[in-house]
Amino acid sequence: MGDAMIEVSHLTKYYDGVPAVDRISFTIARGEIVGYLGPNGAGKSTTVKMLTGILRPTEGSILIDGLDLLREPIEVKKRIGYVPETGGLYESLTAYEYLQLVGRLHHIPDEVLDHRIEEFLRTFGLEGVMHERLSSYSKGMKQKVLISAALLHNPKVLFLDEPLTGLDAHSALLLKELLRYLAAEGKTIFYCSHILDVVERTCTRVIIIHKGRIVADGTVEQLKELTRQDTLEDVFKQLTYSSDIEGLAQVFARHILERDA
Amino acid sequence: MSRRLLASLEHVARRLGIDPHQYWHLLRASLLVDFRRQSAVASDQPTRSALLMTCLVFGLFSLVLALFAFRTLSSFHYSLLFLAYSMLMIAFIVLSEFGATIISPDDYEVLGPRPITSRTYFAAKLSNLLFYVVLIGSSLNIFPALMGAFSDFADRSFPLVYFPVALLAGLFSAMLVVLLYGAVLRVVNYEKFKDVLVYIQVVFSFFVFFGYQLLLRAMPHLEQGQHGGGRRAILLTPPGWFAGLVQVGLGQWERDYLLWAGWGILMTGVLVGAGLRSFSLEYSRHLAQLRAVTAERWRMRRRLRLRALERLLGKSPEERVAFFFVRQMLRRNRTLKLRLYPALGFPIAFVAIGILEKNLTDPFLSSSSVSSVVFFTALVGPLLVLNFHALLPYSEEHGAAWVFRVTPVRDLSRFFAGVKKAFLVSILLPLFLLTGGLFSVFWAPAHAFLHAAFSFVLSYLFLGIVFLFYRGGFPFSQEPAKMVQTRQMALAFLSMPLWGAMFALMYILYRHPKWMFGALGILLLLGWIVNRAADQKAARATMAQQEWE
Repeated sequence: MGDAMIEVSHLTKYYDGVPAVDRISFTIARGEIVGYLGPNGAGKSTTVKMLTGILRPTEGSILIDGLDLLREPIEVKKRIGYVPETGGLYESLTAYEYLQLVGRLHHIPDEVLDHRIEEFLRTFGLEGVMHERLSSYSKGMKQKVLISAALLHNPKVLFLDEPLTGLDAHSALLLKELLRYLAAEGKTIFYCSHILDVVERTCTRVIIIHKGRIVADGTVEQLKELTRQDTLEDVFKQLTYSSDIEGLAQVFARHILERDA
Repeated sequence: MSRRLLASLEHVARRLGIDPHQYWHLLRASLLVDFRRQSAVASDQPTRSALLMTCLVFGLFSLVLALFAFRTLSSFHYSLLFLAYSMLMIAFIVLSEFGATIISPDDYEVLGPRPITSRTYFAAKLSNLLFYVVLIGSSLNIFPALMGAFSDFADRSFPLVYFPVALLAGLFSAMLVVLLYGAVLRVVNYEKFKDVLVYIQVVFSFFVFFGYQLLLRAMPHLEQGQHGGGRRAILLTPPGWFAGLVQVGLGQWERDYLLWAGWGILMTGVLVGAGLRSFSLEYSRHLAQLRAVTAERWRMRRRLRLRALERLLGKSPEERVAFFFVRQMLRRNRTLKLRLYPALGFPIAFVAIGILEKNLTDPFLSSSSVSSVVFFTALVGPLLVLNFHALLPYSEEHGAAWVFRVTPVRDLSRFFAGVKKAFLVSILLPLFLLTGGLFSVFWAPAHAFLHAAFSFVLSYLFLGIVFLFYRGGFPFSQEPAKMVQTRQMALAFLSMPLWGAMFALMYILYRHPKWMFGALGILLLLGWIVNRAADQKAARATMAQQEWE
């Protein structure tokens, strides 16, 4: 595929001999917003960490914008932006200092950088607190700083791991609109989440991972048709749970009630 | 000129695989983060003031020690003494206080996906570390260097030779620790790694407290040794190599000095080279390994043992809950461990002092006097009780204490009984065993363990008395407050007469050992009564606090 931005082949990661990600392969084209779904512990974050060069795969290859991540990690990292699920901030720095550090590591000239930092933080309503330490920020405010840091150097590919965590409704809407706009401009977005309705409304394609393996890959409509389900939630349920949720909930409730009996 | 120098430095850096622009900004950010981070040892002070205080204290102690040593020792032994101490201190400081400078989990999250080479990152981290090594190395060695110029060996060039050698020795120490980090990270996961660091900090605090005391007492032995044949053996140790280098710098070209000075320079070169080459190239891998999810293998057998201990010691569910909770916190909470565990080393230090002072005779023998060292070992328990009492209400994890407020605790006094039992089992019991074991090397084992039992029972009584003054609150349920230490000092001051009475009682009982068992029984009963009263008092105070909230 000539327009491929992310090409993953037989990607595998073992922890203590247990496969967290097991020989997954997919290709994502320029301008696509791909939702990467899976239950807790399915291997979503491990995949993202391998795709961003944080974790080294046990096996397999990753090409980003035609470059081999394992051979040219620096060139690949210049092209990507990453919003982690947790952490990822020096909390004793201010938002301004943190974004300045990230921008300078990407060699953005100071005059451009200052302007961008101010614009980004103003968009997220953080201009009044940009010189306060990140340790005093709420979870949502920190998330806004992380999103700004990922976009600061205008990356070609954006990896988002649960980006809506802690965001208020207004900021969440803003981010979703922003992602659509960036995709229309040719950016590739890899959106990792377990919030199904957001993925359903934002992503052009969905990959579902379960126990380290890809169990579905296609547009939301394709997946509904294939599994003969009405909603993405039902598709997800069918592909990732061996027992039915209702039955499981009943057993759980019985355990809770048992105590009083 | 300076621009040309800068350009050539940038050229060299690029040839080494270091991006100068990124290097500078990384270094700047890491120093900024360091200075704003809370110090591990002085938790209520930011790093800047803690560092300043550390440098001042080290400088002052070195001055005092230099005043004692500069007219007593030969130039070789003088250098050896201060180099050994500064190398040890630098190694411990790098390990404990500036561990995050070398390996920071934050870096993994923040910098992992950024386009930075391992060498750039490592160069910035190493420069950050060297900044502290030079600063602390200078404070440890500046006065010994200056005093050396006025010593009996009176070579005016001594400071000019000694000081740079001391900094080189500091660099050697720091690099050794950096490589040690690399080695440890290859075999343990991050949680284990943090535990290892806490224990190193514990040993470090112990050295800070007792190091100079031991050195002052060891000096006469060192002085005697310089005339014996031990010099070659001393030269086998790293401080010996650098002391040899000082001698060579002073113009004493003896074969031994030349050999070991050369060896010292070679080893520093090898260590710096190894650190820069292999470690920097593998640095990203180390960081990734650091955070890699490793399955926590919960040991079932250990859990069953703990459950059995809970049942044995806790009569009610409240007591068992408190026992389990406080015991786990004593094992895992970093602040608690740092404040309490160093005291477990005190008996060892007192015994070492006793050996050096040749003052460690069995107090139960009528022919011998009761040494002050023996009294002091009995003081460690009450000291720990005071610390525990002061630390109990506070924790960085205080936010989680809502669980106690929403749970119906039927008998709060039983809850506090469980708290104190956890302290007795986790801290005072090991202290008792350690004290008994140590003294049994020098005394009859029965006498040693009788002394330890007496100390234990006194600590138990003291625990009850101190908890009569407990201000209330569930364990670890409040934000750490700054006045804790002041309050603790006040309580320590108020309990002085009690300690005086304790010393008097000890003296009487060691003179009349047959009264010992009776006294132990009475003290144990008294301790039980006082502790019961203290549990009820603590429960009332906690309930009153909850109502007020």
